[in-house]
Amino acid sequence: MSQLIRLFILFSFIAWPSSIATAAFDASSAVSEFADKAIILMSYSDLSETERRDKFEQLVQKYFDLPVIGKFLLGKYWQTATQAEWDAYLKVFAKNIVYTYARQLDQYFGQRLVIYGIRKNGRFDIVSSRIVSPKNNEGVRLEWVVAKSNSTFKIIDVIIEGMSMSITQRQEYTSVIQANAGSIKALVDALSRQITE
Amino acid sequence: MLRLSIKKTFILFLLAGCASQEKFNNQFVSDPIEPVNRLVFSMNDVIDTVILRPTAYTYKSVIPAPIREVVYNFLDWLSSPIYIVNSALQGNFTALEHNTARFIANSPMFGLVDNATGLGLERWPEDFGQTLAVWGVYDGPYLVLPLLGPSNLRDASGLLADYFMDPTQHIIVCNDKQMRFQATRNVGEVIDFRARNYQKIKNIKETSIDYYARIRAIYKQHRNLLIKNNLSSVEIMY
Repeated sequence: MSQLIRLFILFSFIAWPSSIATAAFDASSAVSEFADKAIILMSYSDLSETERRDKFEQLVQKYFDLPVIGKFLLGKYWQTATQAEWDAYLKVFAKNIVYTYARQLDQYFGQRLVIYGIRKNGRFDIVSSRIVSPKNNEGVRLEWVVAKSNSTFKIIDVIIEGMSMSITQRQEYTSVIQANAGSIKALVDALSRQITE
Repeated sequence: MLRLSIKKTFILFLLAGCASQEKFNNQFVSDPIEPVNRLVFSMNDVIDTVILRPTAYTYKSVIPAPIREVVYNFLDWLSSPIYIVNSALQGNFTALEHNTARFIANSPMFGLVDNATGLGLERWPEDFGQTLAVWGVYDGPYLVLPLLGPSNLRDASGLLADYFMDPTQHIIVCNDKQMRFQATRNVGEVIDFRARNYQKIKNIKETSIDYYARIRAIYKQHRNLLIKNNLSSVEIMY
């Protein structure tokens, strides 16, 4: 029974509408909401790995602009992709992003995110933060690139200790496509293989 | 045709286009000898898997964290003269003052204890590869060096200059002792680096679909960050 109640609380927390949670919803609210929920989710030991992954996917779908990131990572190849290739790619790419981000966040289990600044860079909002360990003052520097989309703020890149996830993955995806004579299917296969391994 | 909302297209355009094409192109790596690099990378990866990773794991597991910290501090202190000379060559007087003060603050304990960071003088590594970049030298083709890993023509040349800048290379007490000291130092630096980045490397490897391409992209971004003296990556990339 207590487990059911805890699961209900967790689900309610993840599904909590952002408009209710914060009146003045902005880029830093989007980041802090996402990070808080993700860290709680990662520390919730009663969930199986699959349940945790599913809930994390819901979070990523809600707070990240996956179609925009997906197109950016494909580079010039998204323009030549057929609708079928694009659909297949977007489906497996979302799973892969969840897998990659979940692995990154897993290592920060038990730590907290401190947001210490927000600034404009062109048309993006950049939220500066640090993941702080309770054991020491050392922390990992994280910057979140946020863009406004349909009146909501969505994350489009995470920069961990100076390394952009989007730029790194874009070069990796391009490399796979180039090595396979421009085949997007080869990329989709590689992404699928990784999440099923 | 792909279905695209106007706003999505606009954001994408900002991401890939307005985000200064020059800045964006700077993140791409010229890799004309990719097949050779991939071969060397694979050999390095085998060496890492068979020798380095287990050694780093044992080092992490057996040696207590405070002692590993002392080793890290000492190795960094030994490189301080290289940081100082390169700061001067770059004409970066803030870095010169910072690295000199840091060296002096840590010298009473021969660098074993990092007093300087507590005084606000955090690590600020400078090498000749960075100096060349400040002087306007392009990075040139990407190279994977045997045992040493990712580099490029500019940074590989810089390694040679840094070797001659290092005072410990010129203090000749006895050739045999000198060689053993340098060998121990180099091995220590490699194991220390691998142990400190153990989890990161594991995550990178496990989440990559092309490990070689990911390391190449990370190396480029990391070097750009060092050259720009940790100016926020956002300003470098977007």
